[in-house]
Amino acid sequence: MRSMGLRARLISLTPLLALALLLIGTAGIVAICPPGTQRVAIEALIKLLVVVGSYIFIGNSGVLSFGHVSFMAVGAYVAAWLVIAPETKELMLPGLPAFLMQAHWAPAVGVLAGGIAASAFAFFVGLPLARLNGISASIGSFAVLAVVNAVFSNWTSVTGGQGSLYGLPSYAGLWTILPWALAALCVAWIYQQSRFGLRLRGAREDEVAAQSIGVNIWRERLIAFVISAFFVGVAGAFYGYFLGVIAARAFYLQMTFITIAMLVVGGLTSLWGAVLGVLTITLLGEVLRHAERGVDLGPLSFGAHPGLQELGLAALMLIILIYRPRGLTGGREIPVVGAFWQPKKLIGSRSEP
Amino acid sequence: MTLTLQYAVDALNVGGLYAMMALGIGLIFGIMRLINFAHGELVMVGGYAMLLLVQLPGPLVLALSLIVVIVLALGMERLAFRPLREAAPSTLLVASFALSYFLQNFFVLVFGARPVPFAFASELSTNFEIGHIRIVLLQVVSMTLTILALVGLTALLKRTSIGVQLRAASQDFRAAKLCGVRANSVIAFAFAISGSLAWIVSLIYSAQIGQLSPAMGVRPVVIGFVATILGGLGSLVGAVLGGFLVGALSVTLEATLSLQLRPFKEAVLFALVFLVLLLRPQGLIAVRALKERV
Amino acid sequence: MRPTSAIELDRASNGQLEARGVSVRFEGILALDTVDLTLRPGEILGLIGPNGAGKTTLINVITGFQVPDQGRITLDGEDITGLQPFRISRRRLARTFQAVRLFCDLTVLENAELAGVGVGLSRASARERAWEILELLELADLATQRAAELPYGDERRVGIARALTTLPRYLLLDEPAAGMNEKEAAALSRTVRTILQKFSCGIMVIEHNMMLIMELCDRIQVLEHGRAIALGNPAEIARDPAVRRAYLGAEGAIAGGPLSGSSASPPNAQAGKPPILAIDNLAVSYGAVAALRGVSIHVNEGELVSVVGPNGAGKSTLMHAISGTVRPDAGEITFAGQSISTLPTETRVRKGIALVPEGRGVFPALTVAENLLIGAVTRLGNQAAVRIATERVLDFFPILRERQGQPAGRLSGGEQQQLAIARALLSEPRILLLDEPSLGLAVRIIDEVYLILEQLNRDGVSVLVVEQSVMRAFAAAQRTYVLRNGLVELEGRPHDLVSSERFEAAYFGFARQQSPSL
Repeated sequence: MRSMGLRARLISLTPLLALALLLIGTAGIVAICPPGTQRVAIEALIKLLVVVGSYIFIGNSGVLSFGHVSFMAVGAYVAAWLVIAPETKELMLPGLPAFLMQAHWAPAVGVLAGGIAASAFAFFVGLPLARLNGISASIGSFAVLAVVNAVFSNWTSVTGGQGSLYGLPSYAGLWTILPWALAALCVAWIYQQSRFGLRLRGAREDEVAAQSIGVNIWRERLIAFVISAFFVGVAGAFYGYFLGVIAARAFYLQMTFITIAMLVVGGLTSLWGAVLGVLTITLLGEVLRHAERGVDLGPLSFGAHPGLQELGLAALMLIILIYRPRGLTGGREIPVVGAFWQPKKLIGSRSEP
Repeated sequence: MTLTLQYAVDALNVGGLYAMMALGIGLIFGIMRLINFAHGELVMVGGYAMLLLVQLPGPLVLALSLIVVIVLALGMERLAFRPLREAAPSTLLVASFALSYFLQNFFVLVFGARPVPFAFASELSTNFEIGHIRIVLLQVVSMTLTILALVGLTALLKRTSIGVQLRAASQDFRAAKLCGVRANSVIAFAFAISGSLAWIVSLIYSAQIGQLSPAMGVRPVVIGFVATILGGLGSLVGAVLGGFLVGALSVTLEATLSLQLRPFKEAVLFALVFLVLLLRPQGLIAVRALKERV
Repeated sequence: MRPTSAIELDRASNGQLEARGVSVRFEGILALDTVDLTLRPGEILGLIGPNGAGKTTLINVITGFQVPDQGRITLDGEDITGLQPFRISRRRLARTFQAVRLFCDLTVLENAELAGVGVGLSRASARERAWEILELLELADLATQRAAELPYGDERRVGIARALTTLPRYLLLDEPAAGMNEKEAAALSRTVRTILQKFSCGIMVIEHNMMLIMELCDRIQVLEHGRAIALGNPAEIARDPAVRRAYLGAEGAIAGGPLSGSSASPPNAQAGKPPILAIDNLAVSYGAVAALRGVSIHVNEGELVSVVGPNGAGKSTLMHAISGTVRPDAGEITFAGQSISTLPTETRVRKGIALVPEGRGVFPALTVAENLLIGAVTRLGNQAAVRIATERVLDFFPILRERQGQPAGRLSGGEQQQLAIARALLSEPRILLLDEPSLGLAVRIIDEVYLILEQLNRDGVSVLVVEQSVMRAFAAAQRTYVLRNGLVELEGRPHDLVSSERFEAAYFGFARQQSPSL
C-alpha cells in the first residue's frame, strides 16, 4: 500500500503550521504593544476571519462572490439579537419577536449562533446561486448583498435601521478571536486537502472536465459556500462586539471592497494568499493612516488627508490586477515544497519488487 | 386617472435617467465584456467639474465639464482597462470596482467627504401644472435631454462609420478586426460616448439632488447596472428599455407598497435581478436576436 | 495485475454501450440523424468522418453534455439518456476531450486523483489508484508537475490517465492523437492496446489520423453530415467508395468538368517575380498542441492556390496566423516583400490581406449595406472610391444589391458567403484568403462561389483558399498544397496530383490500394 508516511504527512502540513505560528507569534508581539496597536490587530484578525472564510469558497471554486459580507451582517445581527440586554432591546428594537427579545446569552454563544445563522442563510441563498457561473454568479452574489443591506437598513423595528444598534458587549479581544482564526485556518486547510476541496478546485479549473469525471459542481459549491459563511458570520459577530455599535452600512461596499482587495492582493487561490493579503493591506493601511494625519518632512508638509488609506489600497489593487494578477503569492502556498508531497521518496520504501 | 398620469410622468422621467446610465454601461459591456463600476464616478466628476467652473458663463461650463468627463473616460480606458483587455470578465469587474473606489477616495482627499451644495440654474426647480399634473421644469429639461441623447446616439450608431464599426465590434470583435476595424479607435469611441451619457446624467442628477459628494455616483451606477441586467446584458435597446422598466417599477413600488414596506423598494429590485439571472439570463426584454440561417 | 493492486477489474463483460436512433437538431440543422452505435467491452471502435460530421456531438450526447432530440443511450442495459454528465461518469463511462481540458493549476497526480475522488473514493485511495495508472501510462515521473507546464504530447496522455482513474468499462477518446508526430502516435497506439488489455474495457476512438485508426481499431464507423454511412472492419472501410467520397468530395460533379482550367498557367502570373505571400517554416501551437510544425508555402502574384488536408492538419491555424489572429511561435510571414509577422490584424488588412473567415463572420444584426461599409473601413478617406467599389461589388453579387437593407443574419448560407467575400473585396486586397468557403453550403451554391473566385483570380486578385472538399479545391487551383498533421506533405499542380498514389498517401497517411499492416 502506498500511503503517506508520517514524515510526508508532516511535510504536507508545513504551510498550515507556518501560518498558525505566524499568527500566534504576531498575536504575542501585539499583546505587549500599546492599546492602539492592539485595536488595529483585533480588527485585522476579524478581517482575517472574513477573508479566510471567503477564501474557502472563492479560492477553491474560482467564483468571485461579492456577497460574503452579507454573511457578516447576518452574523452580527443575530449575535446582537441574542446578546444585548432585553431592556435595551425593548427600547431600540420594538419589533423583535418575544423569544429574541428575552434572550440574553453569553457573548461567546452569540458568536457561535452568528456563525450558524450565517451558514443557514448561505444554504438557502446558495441553492440557487451555486447554479450560476462566472460573471452571473458575481452579479447574483452582489444582488444578495444589496438585498441584505436594503433589508437590514430599513427594517428599523428589528435592526435599528439606518441608526445604530448599541449595547453590545466588548468581548472582541486578541485572545478570544485568535482561537477562531486558528480554527478557520485549520478548517480551510482540511477542506482544501479533502476530496471536497479537490473536486471543487477541479471545477474551478475546468467545469466541463470536472463534470466528466463525476464532480457534482452545484453540490460542491454549496458545501464550500456554507462552510465559508460560518466563519464570515463569526467574524460579523465579533465585528459587532468590536465596534460596540452596528449599522447596516458597515457591512456593505466598503467592507466588501477591502476584503476582496485582501484576497486579490494576496492571491485568490491559496490560503497563504488570504493571510498575506490581510497582513499586507493592514500594514499598508496603517502606514497610510499615519500619513493621513499629516506628515512633516521639513520644507514639505502634508496636511491631514482623509481618504489616503483607501486611495492607496485602490491603487495597489489596480497595480496588482494589471501586473501580477495572481497576487503576491502567485496562488501558491508557502513554502511550496509542503504543498506537494514527494512520492518519489516513498518508492524506495516499497517492499514489493 | 390623474394620479396615474402623474406616476407615468415621474416614471418616464426617472426611467430616462436610468436608461442613460444603463446605456453608458451597456455600451462598454457590449464591446469589452466589462461592467464599468467606475461609470458612476464619471457622473460624480461631471458634477464637480461644473461646480468648479460655475463662475464661467453657462454654455462654457457645459462644454468644459463635458470635455473633462470625456477625457476622464478615455483616460480610464487607456490606463486601467487597456492593459486588462484580455483578462477574464471577473478580473475586469474587480478592476472597475477598484477604479471606482480610487476615484471616489481621490475626490474625498481633494474635496472632503461631506456633501457640497450645488445650485446650477436654480430656475429649473420651478414647478408648474398642466391639468392637475405637477411638472418640475427640471423634469422637462431632463426628458428633452434624454430624448435628444437617445436620438443622437441612434443617429451616431446608424449613420456614422465609426458608429457602425462599434456595432460590428460588439457583435464579433474578431471579424471586425479582420475587416480592418481598429480596435483601439472603436473602444475609445465607446468610452467617449459613455462619458457623454454620464455627463448628461450628472447634469440632471446633480440639479435634482442639489448637492455633490464623492460617493454620489454609486447609487446611479448600481441602478444602471440593474437596468442593464434586466434588459439583457449586451443589448443596447435592452439597456434603454431596462432603464424605463426600472423607472416604472420604482415608481410603481413607491405607489403601491404600504408606507412601511416602501423602503424595501431596493430590496425588491435586487431580488428581481437575482431571479432574472437565474431564470432568464438573457434579460426580461425579449429583444429577439436575429436567427441566423446557416 | 498484482492481487494487492488498487484497481479491481470487473470481468463480467456482458453488456454494451448502445446509442439508438440518436438525432440532434441545432437551429434547424440536423447535426445527427438517427445514428446508431454499439460499443462492447474488449473492442476498439473507431469513429471517423469529415469536419461537421457530428462525431463530437455524438460523444457529447453519450456522455450527457448534450440532450438528444430523439434516441436513447443505454449503458449495460440502463437508460442513461439525458442524465447529467457527472452521474454518467459514476456509471463507469469515461471520456477525453479534443481540447484535453486538464486542470491547469493542479499537478498531474492531482488531475488523475480528482477522477478518483470524483467517483467517490477517499483521497488516499484515489491517490493510490492514480499512481498505478500513471505508472501504467509511463507518466509517473511527471506526477508532481503542474499540468500547465507539461511538454507536448504528455498532456493528452495525462487526459487519458485521468479518464482511466474512474476505472471505466467504456472509454471514449476524442482525437487522442491530435498534434502528435508519427512516433508519438505509435506510442499512443501501444498505450491504447495496453489499456485494452489491462482494463478489458470498450474503447471508442475519434480520430483524423487514418493510419492510427486503421492500425488500431477492430471496427470503424463512418459519419458524414450527421449520418452513419459505413460500418465495418478497417479493410472494408478502406475500400468503401462512399467513405472516400465523403472525405475527398465527388469527382466529376463539378461544373465545367474536373480540373478543366487547372493545368493552364495562372492568367496573370509573372515569371521571376517574388511571391506576394511567403510563409517560411511557420510553427504555431495552442498550449501544448502543435498545430503547425514548420510549414512553408507561397503564393505567387495572380495565382489561385489551395491548401487541402484532413481535419486537424492545421489549415485554419494557417489562415489565422496569416491574418494575425494567432501568434506563431516561430517562422516568418512575408507579404509583398515585407515581413508582417509582428503586425496586428488591422494593419495587415490595410496592407492588402483580406480574410474570409471560417463560418463567414458576417455581422448578423447589421444590414448588408452596413456589412459592406465595414468592409470598406480601411478606405474611409476616399468616399468616392468607396462608392464606386461598392457599386462594382454589388454588380458582381446582384443578390446582395437586392438585399441591401436586410440584416445579414437573415441571409441564407450561400448569400452570407457572398457577402463575406464582397466585404473582403471592398478593402481592395491584393490577396484574398478564404477559410473553408464551402462548409455548410449546398453543392450548387459552392459552384457559384467558386466561379466567382475564379473570375476574381482572372481579374488579378491572388487567392489562397483552404478547403476540405479536395476535388473542389483541385478544380479551381493552379497549385495545391497537401497539409497533414501540421506539415506540408505534398505540393504540386492538381492536374498532376489528382490520381497519384502520393496524394492519397499524403492525405490519409497511407494509400488506398495497399492495406496497412495490421
